[in-house]
Amino acid sequence: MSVAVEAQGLRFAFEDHLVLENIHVDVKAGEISVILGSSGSGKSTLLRLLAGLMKTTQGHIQFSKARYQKAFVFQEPSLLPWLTIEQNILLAHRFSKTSKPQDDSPNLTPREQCAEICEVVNLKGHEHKYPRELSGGMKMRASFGRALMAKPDLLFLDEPFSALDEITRWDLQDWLRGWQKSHQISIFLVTHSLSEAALLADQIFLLGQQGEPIKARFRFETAVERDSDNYHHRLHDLKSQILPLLSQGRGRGEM
Amino acid sequence: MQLFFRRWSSLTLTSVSKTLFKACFVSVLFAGLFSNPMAFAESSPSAPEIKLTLNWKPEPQFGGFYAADFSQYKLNVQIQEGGSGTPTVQMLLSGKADYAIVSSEEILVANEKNPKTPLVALFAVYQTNPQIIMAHEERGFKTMAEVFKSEGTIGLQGGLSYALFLKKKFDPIKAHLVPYPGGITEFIAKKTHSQQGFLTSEPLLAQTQGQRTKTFLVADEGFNPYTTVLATQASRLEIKADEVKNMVKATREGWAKYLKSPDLTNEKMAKLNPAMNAETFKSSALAQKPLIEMTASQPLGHMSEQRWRDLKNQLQGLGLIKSDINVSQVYKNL
Amino acid sequence: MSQRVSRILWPSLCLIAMIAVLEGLTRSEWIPPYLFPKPSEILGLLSPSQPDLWPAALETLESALLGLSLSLAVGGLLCLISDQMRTLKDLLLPLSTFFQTVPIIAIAPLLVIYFGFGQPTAVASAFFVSIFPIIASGLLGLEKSPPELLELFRLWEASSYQQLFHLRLPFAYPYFRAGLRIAIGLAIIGAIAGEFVGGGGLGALIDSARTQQRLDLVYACLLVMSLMALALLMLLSLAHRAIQAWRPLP
Repeated sequence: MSVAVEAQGLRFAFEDHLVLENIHVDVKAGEISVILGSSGSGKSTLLRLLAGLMKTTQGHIQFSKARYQKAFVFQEPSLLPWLTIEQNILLAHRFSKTSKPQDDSPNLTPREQCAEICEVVNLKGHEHKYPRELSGGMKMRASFGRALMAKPDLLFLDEPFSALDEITRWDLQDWLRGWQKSHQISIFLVTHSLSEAALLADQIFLLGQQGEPIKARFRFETAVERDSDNYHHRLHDLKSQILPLLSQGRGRGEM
Repeated sequence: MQLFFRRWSSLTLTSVSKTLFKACFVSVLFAGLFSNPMAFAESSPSAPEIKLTLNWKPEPQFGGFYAADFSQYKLNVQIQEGGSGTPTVQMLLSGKADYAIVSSEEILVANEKNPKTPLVALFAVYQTNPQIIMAHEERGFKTMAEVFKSEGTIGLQGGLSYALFLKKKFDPIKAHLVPYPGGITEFIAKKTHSQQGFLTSEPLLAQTQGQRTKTFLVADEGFNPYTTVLATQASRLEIKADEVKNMVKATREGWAKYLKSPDLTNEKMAKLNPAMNAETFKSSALAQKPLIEMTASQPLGHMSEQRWRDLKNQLQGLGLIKSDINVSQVYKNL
Repeated sequence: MSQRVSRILWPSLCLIAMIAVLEGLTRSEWIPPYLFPKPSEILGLLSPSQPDLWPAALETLESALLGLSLSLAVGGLLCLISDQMRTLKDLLLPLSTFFQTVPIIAIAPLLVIYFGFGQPTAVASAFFVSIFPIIASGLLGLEKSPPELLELFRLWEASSYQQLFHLRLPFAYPYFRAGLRIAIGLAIIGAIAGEFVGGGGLGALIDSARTQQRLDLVYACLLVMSLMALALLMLLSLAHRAIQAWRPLP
């Protein structure tokens, strides 16, 4: 169902400016892979290369399936303001049909699928509202709902929670964990938050400065619960390993 | 108590001074709009400037004014040339011009509209109205009626009284009436175009450009007002009777001189109006003589009450004036 | 009194007061008739029984609307084409800005040479002034789509046409609407400028009235001109509300 990804020797340069050099990424199907780095590390660029939104200067990316469905969630909800939530989600459905060979649930009409999705993302009852009537967190959930409507095999998330307040962020992070565990979709998540990475990741790729290869890679065999002891251990380990790596050649301790 | 009084008085003082300021501002504004600019010039030691505004460019039509020797009568006359659409009547009414050239119809209409500031006609250059309709000779028209009743375009300035007269006379009109911006560009460009004009001006100009013209006098169709009329405010005639008399005298002498020998004056005018060449000046001055010269023993520029009455009746018929004007007040032979 | 009512009521009362003062000043001839006519005379000319004014106004309105429709069609088409062709767009934008500065009064006499007397010149004149704000605002608006949404559409592999219809045109709408408001006023001015030179409609009427010293008719024509523009703008407003009811475009 889901997709495994392998990328070798990725290079991306933009107008004499080297952003990524010699990047290797390999990801098993059904995992959450976190691309971690501070601002300007090139993590958003890497995500877009993997999603096919930008072309690499060098290197190749391989996917385990020839045809797969992908979806992207941005830092901003990016909903079309003149359409209701339902209409926004259905629009995505219209367009996403192109890559997918066949619908999985031929019994449900798109509208019924949309209603289901709204339940999944906890937006039931708000489908007929316009984006301006919703809070930031609800808009983000709608953005997720739009992505899910495409029935993605591969989900790309570009710092989707960083614009939200802390409580909403926790809410959505928990929801994402739960949803991903039950659906086993491969996810690439870009973030600059160590705690988010510790909570959600099955795998972390740490990016340093632009032009440098992957600084470190972390694999986790088990999932952790928020505020559990395992979680705190993991976070502590990550901090102690990552922070010195990042301050190499930069002289700054904080991310 | 003292404090209260002081505060109260300063309050009223500011509001009073504000009102005063506003009143001053407004009155200066209105004064500027309505004042006669002459009022300032009068304080200067040299002879006060007298503005004479023409309603077209310098052409033989105004030859006598350029030939006139106003300084002989101690008149410091500045001739201002006009062009298409120069509002000489408004300029007289507002005081922007002391004397101006207008048409006799304009005087009647203006006096009905502005009974408090009537104008008075002093000297009529053309005894016969030189307005014409000019067509291309090749079209073979024999009468003006034919011009209006055939296909083609006629350049005619919409609001002019003779235009209205002709429109009424030749109704229903087959030709397409179009605006007349001045000049003969369209006439040269299209053979199907005819246009209004002055007998002494447009046809001669067209001929120098190689066109063959056929002209029809509006006067022959029964509309013959005095044209190129020197006028001023009636109040000026009362207040400055001597100046007005001398203006007319100098004008009359100027015209007599111009009719006899126009060449020097033509040279002077040609410098101001390069659109017309020396030859056209000459032929135009010649062509207009019969329209100006007096048949009877009357002096140049003389006007009769009968002609003014006829004009008044015609304008009433066209709906351009509504009331019955006493024409004897409208002109003065000096 | 509700806020909305009072916002209309007080300015209206002020306006009526101003007109009353003006009427008093002109009646007593504190303002002489050759400077400004009585407001009552001006308003009297607006009655339907007057033979000259409304037929001329309709003619001008027709020319303006024809010119405007042509601007919308040609301008809209040029926007869409130059959206795809970079060179054309780089040429069109500065040209539009330049031509917006050329006064139509100077161009109208040239138009008569090409289009002849009568309505064609008035329409051409209206077209010439109204097309450039439409092109300028349209091109500007098409650039205003948020970049993440453009990325999203790219991810969805949407065709250019789908991108245009679902994303870029809705975001261009407010700019286009602003340009259209300007174009409406300009189309009327353009039609009248063309009529000054080519004849017909309110332009010829104003010219003729001026020659006959009929200031009251001149002002009546100007008043009708403004009313026409206002009416068209109100129609545009209504259309906008209808669109908003269907889809709340930005």
